Amino acid sequence: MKDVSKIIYRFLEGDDVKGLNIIRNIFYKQISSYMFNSLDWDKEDYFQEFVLKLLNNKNKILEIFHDNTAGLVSYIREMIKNFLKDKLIESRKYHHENIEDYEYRLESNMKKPSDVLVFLEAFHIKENIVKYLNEQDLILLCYLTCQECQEFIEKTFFNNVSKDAMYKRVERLKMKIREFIKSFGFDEDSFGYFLSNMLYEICNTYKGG
Amino acid sequence: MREIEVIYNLYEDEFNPPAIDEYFEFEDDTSKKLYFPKEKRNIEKGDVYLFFENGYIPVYYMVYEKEEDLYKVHKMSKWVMLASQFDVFVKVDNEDFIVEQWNSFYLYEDEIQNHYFYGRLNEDDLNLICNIVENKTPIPEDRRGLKSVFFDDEHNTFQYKFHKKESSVVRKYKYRLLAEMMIEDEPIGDAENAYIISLNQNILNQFKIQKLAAKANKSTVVKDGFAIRLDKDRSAAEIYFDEYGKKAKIKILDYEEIFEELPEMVIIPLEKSIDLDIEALAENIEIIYEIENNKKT
Repeated sequence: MKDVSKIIYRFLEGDDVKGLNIIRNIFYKQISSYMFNSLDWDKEDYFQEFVLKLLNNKNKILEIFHDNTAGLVSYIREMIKNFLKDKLIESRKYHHENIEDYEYRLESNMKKPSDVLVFLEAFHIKENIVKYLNEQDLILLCYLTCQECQEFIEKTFFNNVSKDAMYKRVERLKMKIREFIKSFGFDEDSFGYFLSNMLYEICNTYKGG
Repeated sequence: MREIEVIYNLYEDEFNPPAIDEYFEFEDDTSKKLYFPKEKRNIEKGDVYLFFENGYIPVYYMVYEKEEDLYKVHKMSKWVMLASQFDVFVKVDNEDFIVEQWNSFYLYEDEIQNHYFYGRLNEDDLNLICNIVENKTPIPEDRRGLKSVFFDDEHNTFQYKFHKKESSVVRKYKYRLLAEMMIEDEPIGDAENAYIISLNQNILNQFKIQKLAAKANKSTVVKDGFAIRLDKDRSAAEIYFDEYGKKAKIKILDYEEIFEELPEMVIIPLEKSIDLDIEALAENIEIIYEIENNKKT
């Protein structure tokens, strides 16, 4: 059996072009998965970018695998997965509406790697919560979270609602939201981001005037 | 499909052996688990290494400390987007990683010497990890993964699934210290100060070994999240927990106890007249962890 790890190692050293074909084969196998259907560029363009990244890191890789090349194939496979995952996240970020407004907030607040995921998950929360909750629930949610909406909502929708009835509605809403989060597996950080930065768009309908 | 679902699917795919046509001819990397003559490294706290479980599953870890003949290490991962509130963001040579401060396991020196040296944590990150592990310092907000409202089998969020899978990858390395001490026939843990769980006779009787099975009775059982050992004169069973230090409830049939901080080990005293089937006992132990700061019912 050919030692493909050694062939890839020699490619990185600059000695064997066959290594590049092996890497291409692995790359195309990964990128052809249905998971990456939404990527915008041509597959070859992504591959070229990956190879550039690989070559920029070649000294480190050559050092790590200098004494034992055996794991190099698996390492390349992992590198490709992470590269494609990053490309997917990038492309999905720019598909959302009004991205310029959010991006400013996202970039300026982004302190850790998972922040971009919070942002994307919040979009999914926004898409799905309007289908999961009925209009009465949404009105109540806006009443509880949107200061500018409270006066209008109270006058228009809760004028004749007793404190007791209000309490029960709020408790029911809390349960529904827990069920919503549970059924989709959303996390607390993303839900918090949605409440602070995206719910206002839904609540604009209930500001009155 | 949500991005987190795609990311999780990619991560899970790491556990599938590569297809035969992926590299023209796939070579079984496990055949390379040999000692290659090379200069031995000094193994230091904060060193980051990489090996491939089964020849293809990448396992990164940071060296923590030496215990007996073993090194205690903490698993690390590049799948930072699947991190939960229990994982800590760090960088290694400008690459993003998480340290799973809850996910320790044990390796021998010659294993580490055969692994790939990947780099080191910087001093600040190392100090942070030490504070979290030793002093139970809370993970700073800007260094932790996404916080789940629910973190259990029932809700099964992607962060929870990742958490469980990460634990399972290194499970076989977790109880090595226990096994080492059993071989040396030394008492494990600080028995005088250990927490005692008194199970009533009715419960213990349910785990009495059947006569016919007596010969096959084990003295150690390892399960998902804990291990049980019968001490050598069978006067006590010791339970060792994977994730100690957290708030958790232990259930054994009708017995229930909540721990603000789950101890590393608990002892169940036994009457010598009972031949305990620890396999059956292990099947009936449930550990339910409560998420930090989640006080909702």
